[in-house]
Amino acid sequence: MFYYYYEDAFHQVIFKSGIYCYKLKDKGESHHYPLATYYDKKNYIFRGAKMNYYEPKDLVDFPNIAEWAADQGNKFFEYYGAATGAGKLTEREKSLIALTVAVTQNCPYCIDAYTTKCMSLGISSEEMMEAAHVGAAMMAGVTLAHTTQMRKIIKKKEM
Amino acid sequence: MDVREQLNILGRMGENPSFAGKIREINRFPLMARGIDILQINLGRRCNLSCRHCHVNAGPDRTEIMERPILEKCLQVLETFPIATIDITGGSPEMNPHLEWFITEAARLNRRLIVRSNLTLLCEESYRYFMNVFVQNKVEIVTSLPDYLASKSDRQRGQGSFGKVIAALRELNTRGYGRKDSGLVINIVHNPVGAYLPGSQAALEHEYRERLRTEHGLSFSHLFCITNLPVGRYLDYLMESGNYEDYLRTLWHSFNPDAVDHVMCRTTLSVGWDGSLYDCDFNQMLGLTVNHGAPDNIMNFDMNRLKHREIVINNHCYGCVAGSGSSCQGATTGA
Repeated sequence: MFYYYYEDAFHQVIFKSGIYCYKLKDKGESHHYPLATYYDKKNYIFRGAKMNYYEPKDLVDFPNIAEWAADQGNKFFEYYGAATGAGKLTEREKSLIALTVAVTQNCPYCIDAYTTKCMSLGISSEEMMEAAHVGAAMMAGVTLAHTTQMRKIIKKKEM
Repeated sequence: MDVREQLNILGRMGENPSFAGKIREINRFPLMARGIDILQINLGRRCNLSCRHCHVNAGPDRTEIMERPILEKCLQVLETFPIATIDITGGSPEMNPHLEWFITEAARLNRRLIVRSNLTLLCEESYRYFMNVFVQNKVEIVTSLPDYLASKSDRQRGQGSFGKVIAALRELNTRGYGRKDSGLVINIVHNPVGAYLPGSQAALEHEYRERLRTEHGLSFSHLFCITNLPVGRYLDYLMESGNYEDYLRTLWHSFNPDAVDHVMCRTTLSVGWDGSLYDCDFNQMLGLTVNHGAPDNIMNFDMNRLKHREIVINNHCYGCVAGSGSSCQGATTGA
């Protein structure tokens, strides 16, 4: 009775309760390990093992979003390129802005893309985390600023 | 990981097409050499560092060193043919006992003469004299500094290596290297400290220049961005960290057809420590000698058969044509 079965081009992995069996296809080797060992050493095989709404590999589908509405889609890409490319602001600055928006909007694709882009541009983890705090502070500020509406209504309606 | 195992892994492309198949789609197969403008000579695999990204698998325990007869043959080839650039690499070239002699002889040929030095050895008393050798022979130095942050750079190259590079760079600056109008060139190589591709070479050069100037008072000539290829110790890292498949997918999705026309192997010939000939240093580390009828050892050098040879390709070649393209001289297309 299998708990889970996973297969890709390189591996076959069978999970049972508490153990997993890991096999490299081309070598025909088969190993049994406690699941904890698997988590420690082979966690990469887990990626893709479960079907999620958000799949990391779906990020590469982004260039295809113009499908079925090419005119609008292509105009979007033209705008996207112009907006995110270096201008008065540098590519570094714009990438940090994009990353901040990505984390505040909870977009896993954008977080993946812009974290990687920031690393590629030599932006440090500390700089990225500072940018994320700007986003966090803004989200908190936006939330609290909207209590003005809440407080106004309360004051108007309460006796 | 031995060469056979590396090639075995590189052969498994999953859903991605092979490099040969990919360039066939754009009518670039077979990939042919256009001549030999650069003779890249690998003096050996011995190195004082054991960097985590090193495709050579170089380190202090390696024993492969190019001997003098091979170096003499390289000089004879260079004297005979107008090859514009002599590119000396390793390992640490300084750990080859023939380096000083070879530089002096090669400098007489009046070609562009490059030594790829990790600079850390130049801080040691027994190797300091190479600074004079480099200056006197107007050697162009290429050195690796994966990041302008010490912690990040040291994660890749070993604890304390960043500080040594900075110290050596400071002394080379005082001798004129990296200073305008000195005629002494020192270029820095940036390569990602992890499983991602380098960003814009122009943007990174700007950032490096500012950081090194303001934080260390240093200058340099140019920055070369080099993509890490899935070969040697870097392939080990990709496998162990679970990044291999993602990285290959990223290379594949970043395939740049324009970069195929500018790959360095089309104008480079790489010489191994034992005289074997390769299309590039990466093929050298995978044991893929030149093929398709061209002589595979410098002792049998034949310009006519080598200059238009068919390049030996494999899936690691995706690394040189991803994004802005990558070569030992940095990005190959608009950076």
